[in-house]
Amino acid sequence: MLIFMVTEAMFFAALISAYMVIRAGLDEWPPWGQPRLPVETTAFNTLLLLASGLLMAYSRALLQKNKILEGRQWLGISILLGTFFLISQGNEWVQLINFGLTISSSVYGGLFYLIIGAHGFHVIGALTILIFAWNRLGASRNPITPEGLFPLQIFWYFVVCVWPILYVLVYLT
Amino acid sequence: MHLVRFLQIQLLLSISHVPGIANACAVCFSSSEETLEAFYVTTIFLTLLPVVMLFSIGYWIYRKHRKT
Repeated sequence: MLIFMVTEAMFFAALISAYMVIRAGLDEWPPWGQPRLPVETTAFNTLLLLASGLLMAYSRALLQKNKILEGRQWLGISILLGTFFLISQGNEWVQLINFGLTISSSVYGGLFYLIIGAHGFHVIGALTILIFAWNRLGASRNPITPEGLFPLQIFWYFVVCVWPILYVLVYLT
Repeated sequence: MHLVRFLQIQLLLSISHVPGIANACAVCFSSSEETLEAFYVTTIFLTLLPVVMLFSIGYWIYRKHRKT
């Protein structure tokens, strides 16, 4: 899992580097005629995702104390917040596409959908396996243990931690 | 054989004196100071990140081993 996290970190580091280099080479950013990104809505989404990460940590603490039911409950709320983040981001994408920002409209659009899309795919993947794990937590047959859940939680922490960096880089600067 | 080697060296020297050919490089799309700076920063970032991560993992394993 650690090796996987390192490769994931390098993947996002490469995307961030490409973004910085391409952006530095252009005089106007965002390019003329391209819609501006919804900073406030995404800030709210960022808070939701961070809250989701904190609740994940809280649920882990409860699970370690063998409070399976409570831990499962908070894990479920954490997953719900993550799902809300994903839906809200999807809604934002639909609006941006309607405003004319597509992957081929400019290098700005291309980079936006590449970086934010890569993160979105990670959120989808993490939520899918977390929902599966949540379902197996405390199950009567073949349940997942808190220790078995830990690698998935690490992946979620990674997804949560990388987002503020992407938000500041793509939305704010 | 010597003539061939001589011509090869001549060709290399000729190319090195025609910097315009370097424009074919896919990442040399901008020669501004900002791009140069971005290349430096990202090179340092991509070089140091794996080192920092591996050091952190190594330290974490060391701490865990010491505790047990």
